[in-house]
Amino acid sequence: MTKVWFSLLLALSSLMWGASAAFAKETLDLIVLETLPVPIVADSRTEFEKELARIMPDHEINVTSYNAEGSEVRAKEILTELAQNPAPDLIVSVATLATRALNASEEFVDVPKLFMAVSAPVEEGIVSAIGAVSERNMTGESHVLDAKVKLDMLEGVLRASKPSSLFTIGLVHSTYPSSSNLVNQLLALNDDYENINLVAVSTPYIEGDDGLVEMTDSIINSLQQKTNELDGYWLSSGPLAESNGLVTKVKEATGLLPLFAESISSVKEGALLGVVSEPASIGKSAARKAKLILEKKSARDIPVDKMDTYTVAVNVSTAIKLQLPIPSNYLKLSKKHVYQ
Amino acid sequence: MRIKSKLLVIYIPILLIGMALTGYWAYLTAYDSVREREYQLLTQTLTLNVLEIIDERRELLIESGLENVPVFREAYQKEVFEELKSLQQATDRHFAISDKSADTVVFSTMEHTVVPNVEDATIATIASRKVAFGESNINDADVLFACAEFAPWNWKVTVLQPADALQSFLSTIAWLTSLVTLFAVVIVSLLMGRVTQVFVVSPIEKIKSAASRIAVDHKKVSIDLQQNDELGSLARDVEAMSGEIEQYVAQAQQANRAKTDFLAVMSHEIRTPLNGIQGLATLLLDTQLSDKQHQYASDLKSSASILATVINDVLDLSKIESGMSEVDVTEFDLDAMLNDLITLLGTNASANSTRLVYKSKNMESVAVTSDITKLRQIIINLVSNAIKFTHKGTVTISAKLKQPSQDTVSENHLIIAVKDTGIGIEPDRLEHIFDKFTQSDSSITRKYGGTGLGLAIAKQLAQILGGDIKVVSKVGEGSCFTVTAKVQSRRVVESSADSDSARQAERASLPEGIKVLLAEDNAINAVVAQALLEQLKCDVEHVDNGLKAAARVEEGGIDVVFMDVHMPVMDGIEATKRIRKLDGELSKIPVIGLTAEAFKERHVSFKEAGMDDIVTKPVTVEALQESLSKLALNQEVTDNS
Repeated sequence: MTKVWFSLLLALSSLMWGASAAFAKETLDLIVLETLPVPIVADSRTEFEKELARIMPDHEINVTSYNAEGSEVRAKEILTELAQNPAPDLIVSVATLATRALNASEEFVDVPKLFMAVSAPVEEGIVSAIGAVSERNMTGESHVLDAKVKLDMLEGVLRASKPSSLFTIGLVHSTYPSSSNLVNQLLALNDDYENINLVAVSTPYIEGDDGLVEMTDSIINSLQQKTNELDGYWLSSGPLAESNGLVTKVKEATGLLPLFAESISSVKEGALLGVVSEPASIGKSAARKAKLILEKKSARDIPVDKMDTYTVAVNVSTAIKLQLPIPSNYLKLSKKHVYQ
Repeated sequence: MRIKSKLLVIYIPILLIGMALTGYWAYLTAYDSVREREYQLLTQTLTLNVLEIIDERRELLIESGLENVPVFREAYQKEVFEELKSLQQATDRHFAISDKSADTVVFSTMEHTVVPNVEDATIATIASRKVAFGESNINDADVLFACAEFAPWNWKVTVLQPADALQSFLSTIAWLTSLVTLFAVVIVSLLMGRVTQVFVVSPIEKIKSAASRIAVDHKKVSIDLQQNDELGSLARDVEAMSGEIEQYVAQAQQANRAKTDFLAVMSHEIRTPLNGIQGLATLLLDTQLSDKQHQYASDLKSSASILATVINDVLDLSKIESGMSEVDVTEFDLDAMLNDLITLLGTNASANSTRLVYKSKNMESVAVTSDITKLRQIIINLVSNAIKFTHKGTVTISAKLKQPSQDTVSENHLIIAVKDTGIGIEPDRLEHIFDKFTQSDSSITRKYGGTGLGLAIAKQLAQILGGDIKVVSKVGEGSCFTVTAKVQSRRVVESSADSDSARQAERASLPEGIKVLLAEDNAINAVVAQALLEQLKCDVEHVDNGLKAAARVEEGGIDVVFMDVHMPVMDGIEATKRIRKLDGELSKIPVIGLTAEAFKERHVSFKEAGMDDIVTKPVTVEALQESLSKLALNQEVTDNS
């Protein structure tokens, strides 16, 4: 009798296990490798994870995040370590250095890869041109607006004020790849704009949180030396732009105000104009691409392109201070990103 | 003008007027519509474009908290100005903004800004905005304008548009309307013309053609018209009418033949005894009579002559009215004929102590082609009339040809005026002077006699000859009757007078002892005719019927036969035919018909039976002599043979 009851219990257990196995979600393993946890990177990753979970509710998505601490070397080390483990379903790199390391990694050639928050994928050698596909099983989007468009917008603002002389604008940047790439693009286009005179103000990129502080101090020093030459500055993309309180510190130290910034936070702090991709947009757009890949579309077949959603932000207090009225169409585009 | 042309002449102006009115109405409608549309566009441009452009920026400034920041406000106002400049280039409308409080123009797309007078403008609320719009004259140019206030910035915004484009557009509409109207008139006229032709004119022409055939042939016609409308009904009626006409004509012809036969019989029956009376009176006058007896015989002859005239007039009128009077055209010397008449009528004139004068123009050595008998009758009637009413006065006959005659025959007009110095005619009677049985006064009949038919006959004869008779008269001074007639004339080298003289000479040299066989059943007429022939030195032998006449001719020794037409046993026609069937020269013996029948067509039929000439009863010595003279040459040949 006991044997009978035991046999029945065993059968029932087997049945329940089988049923639960039949209704269990498919598990997907994702690795997120971020360059460093600056707001745009961290926020983009967070939005990515949330959006992916939302649009793939039938999957159990296991995301394992790694921080390269702003170092390409560290990123490579992490990847080497990960290569020892079973291959994930998708590796997502956030920001330029982590993406550069992932793209160069030979261990994950066959693993589909997705990047986000990379400003210059062409310059990084991921693809030959925007719109092309990668041969290394990687795809993604550039989150940065074309340099010419940015200059056109700034020129529009300056022209509206009918300046009597050129606006000399310091291009504040570090040697961080995306930052220096952007500055190079801007300088190359400078001659096309009659109201703008761009001057590079650079500091070497230093990895890590300490490096960010150092870079901030360095750039403030550089700006102080050029205060009299400059009417304002352009805060280029990259880790330096994400430095906390940079705008305030520069203003305090030099009285200069940023005329263009690559982040909303910089506009909030006082940048006259900013045209950026918000982390939410970056993360959500990347999640949609990730879904395609996880649903077995090859990353090799998905072209690398630019994001199609940007946010314009203006700071009217800066505009008033600089007596630079922001054209109404920009103000209209800014919508809820008009800051005082 | 043809009916189609008449209809088109009526239709086209009506169409033109109708289409023009419609076109004008369409133009006015289009004009109002275009103006309405232009004002609508203008006010919409003002409210939905210009004011929205301004308001949008102001809202933006408010939302951004920059409303009171001058640099922004000014910048955005400049943006407005820039946009209006672009709008001006895109729309070709001008924009002006003035400051209401300062009454100054702050912006304008025009070189010389003039703010239109809005006193007469129409006020309307469009898109929740109060807008004034209208038309104004600025610098001698018409402009359409619309203006509204933008209170937050204390602006008065005006949109201006030259009216030239609108007027040009309206001119285009006017031209197009005119062209379309004309085109429509042409098309509709053509269509109406075609429709009228098919449904009205063509059927009418068919009916007209049928009517013409009826008029000519008096036969039943069939009209190829299958319409079931009024014209179709008319065609059927015409067909039916033609049938009836055919019947009536047949009946009329039958009646006419009966009338002709009656007249012929009457003519014969009246003339025969009259012939006897006249002849016997003439013969009686040639006998030994006392003065009183001579007077009686003379009166008897005159009465018979008057009676003969009356009968002739009645017969002539009957012939004319029955359409049996034919124009017998011959070439003759009109001048000589008139001279003869003057001579003939001169006796009557002398009896009335009246002088008869004859004058002519373009008449010498001219041969005229016309109906000599009718012309002579006309002149005799007129001159006789003139003589009758002129006592101790003058009757002047003036004849002329309108155109001088050429060597070749050419058309001409003969004008003969008979002017007298007689009693004249009352003006109120002049218009009735040519009516039958009418004389100017009934007392005239009593005083002067006559039937009152002479002038009526003369006028109708003149009309038959393609002319007419007109009269002018004054009571107590006389009358002038002018006869016109269409004739042909030519100039002749040989003098017709010479020819007439030769003829008279021939007549005068009528041989004596011509053996005449007189076939006449009426004993009195036979006595008269024989006596008259004997006056012409003829040797007369009498028989009383055609059979005897033919037999006598067959015996030989007869030079000429005077053959009465109506005789017992064998009539003159049959006897003549029999003579013509004789052998040799006997068949060629001249046969002159004697008949009381006055109708020419009967004479023709007699001649067709073989008679050489016809002498109408009552016979006169002149008529017998003339007839013999016509045959004189032949007779001479016969005599020689």
